Amino acid sequence: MILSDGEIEEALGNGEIVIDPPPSEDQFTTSAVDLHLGDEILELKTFEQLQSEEPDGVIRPILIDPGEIDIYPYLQKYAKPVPRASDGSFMLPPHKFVLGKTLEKIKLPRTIAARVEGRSTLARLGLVVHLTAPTIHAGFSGRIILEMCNFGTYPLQIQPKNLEICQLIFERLGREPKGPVRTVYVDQETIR
Amino acid sequence: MGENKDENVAAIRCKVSLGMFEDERAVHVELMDGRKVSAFVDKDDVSVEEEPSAASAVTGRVRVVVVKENDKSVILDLPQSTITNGPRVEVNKELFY
Repeated sequence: MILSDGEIEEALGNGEIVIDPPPSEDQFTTSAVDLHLGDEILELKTFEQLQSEEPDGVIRPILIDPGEIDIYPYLQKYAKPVPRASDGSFMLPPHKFVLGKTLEKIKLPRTIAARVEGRSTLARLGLVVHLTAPTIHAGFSGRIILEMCNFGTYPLQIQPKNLEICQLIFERLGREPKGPVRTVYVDQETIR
Repeated sequence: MGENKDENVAAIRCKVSLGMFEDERAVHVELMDGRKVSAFVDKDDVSVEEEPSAASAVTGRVRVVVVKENDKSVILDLPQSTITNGPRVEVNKELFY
């Protein structure tokens, strides 16, 4: 069942859902909360940029196998900050793919999942904010990764922090998921 | 970060390296069958004694939720999906110590 604006406010009020910083009144719609684009935007280096980082004469073909366990160092190595204008905005040309995050940090209980979706106004310009990965699992904590691409005709000038880039739809699970099991490990040193 | 603290949270040993974003880390966990998986998680879900660098990973602990306990292993949920599979993995109990 999708939570209404009032149910979302109740869940925020009693701490069941945490959004940090808390949303203002105008971030709510009837059945979702709009979230802002965070300040850190990454793009993946082009083949030419990666090749220029290799020693002279070394040709390293790029073929990524998603099943390869050590793919993380590649993602870390291949990413770089997107160039920014003096006002902090960045330009997203047609068919350009970048990674961003929501400004707000989210914490969900294990009984509420969410879906991140684009906003229709921005979609009309061709801006996609996620690529086949809208599910925010129950129990999630953190900022939401946005896989953004401009499928429109014109370059877009995007201002992080100010732009409400996406919306978050909350759904209460029909029953609690398996676990959590209270084991002896819970009482051990944890990270909090 | 606010309330909503889960009292059933535990932590397991893992290797920790830098993530793609400044506020995330890559964690590397050995599974019960010997495979190693990696996941990008929020920095707050990880504890380390020293921060990892671009050159080296460090030993640390990552927040988990225990789903099922077996004789020698534990089924648990990592904070995020692993790169090759989902967030639910089976690890040796020794990783809790």
